[in-house]
Amino acid sequence: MKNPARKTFEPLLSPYVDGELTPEERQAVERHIAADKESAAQVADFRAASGLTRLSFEMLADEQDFSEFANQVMARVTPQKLPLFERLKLSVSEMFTYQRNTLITVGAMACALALMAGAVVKLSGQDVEGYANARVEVQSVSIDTGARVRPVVMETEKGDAIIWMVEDGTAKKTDEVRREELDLEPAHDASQKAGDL
Amino acid sequence: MRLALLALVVSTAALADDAKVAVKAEVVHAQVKAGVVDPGLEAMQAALAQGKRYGALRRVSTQKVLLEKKPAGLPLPNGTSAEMSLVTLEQGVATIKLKVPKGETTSKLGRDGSLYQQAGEWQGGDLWLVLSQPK
Repeated sequence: MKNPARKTFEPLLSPYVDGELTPEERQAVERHIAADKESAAQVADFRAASGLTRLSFEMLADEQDFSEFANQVMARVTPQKLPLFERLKLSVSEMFTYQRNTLITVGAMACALALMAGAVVKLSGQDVEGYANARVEVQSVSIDTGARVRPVVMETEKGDAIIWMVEDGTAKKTDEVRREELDLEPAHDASQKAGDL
Repeated sequence: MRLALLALVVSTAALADDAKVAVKAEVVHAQVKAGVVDPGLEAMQAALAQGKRYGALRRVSTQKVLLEKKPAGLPLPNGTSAEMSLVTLEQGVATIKLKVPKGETTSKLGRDGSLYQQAGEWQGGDLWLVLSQPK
């Protein structure tokens, strides 16, 4: 004796096996299967067929080598690689287009740091700058007008320079000395000058 | 970005400063009569012995001076003062001007030697201004 409800539920059996029914439909189908052996047998057949199909596809998939699948797909999708110069040009162009402010800030900071480093080097080198000469060299000596002294310059072997202001009693003599000392040579005869003292 | 620009301006201004040269300036009171020679002044005593044999050398003051175009004053114990300034700084050689009572000298500094400048009299002795490279 055929169950009259089977006519209603038969079209739903295959979707039921495939999991395509709503929860309400699924519950209704399950109640029907429990009451109708013929539908239950058909569901079992569907499940068996579905399992066989899945197994067949899995066996076919196992036979295939998918290790290069992604690369092969990307090779078809990605256009040919640009030359290095073109890629650099494109990168720079994109940087100046989309990151201009960042680039300007970084550039300004780099310049500032370089200048600061220069200033630090300059300031830290102040103690030694100016002493490239080994010896002290007297370039010129002048005496104030009316001062009754005459300069005597001596140099030592160690590189010192000594400038004496020797008392001179006569104004005439002072004038002579002034003329003489304005043209002072740095490496004059120190021993001669020392004798003057 | 404003901070970076500010730093750039400040750095440029720092470099634009005039040249400066540091010197150690000592004022020494020298007397012929026998006495104490302050430590470190033995070389000065030997150097001056070519012209005058000082028996006592006393350090009155020592200071490090940054020489620049603008003259720097240095008071002397006899009430007068000396002035020092940087004339040029070319190829690492500093030429300085030293003005003392009664005269003025222009000299190039040297790393090995000192510049001894007689700068007047005080308390029966001589005042000397000694310029050398700061160590």
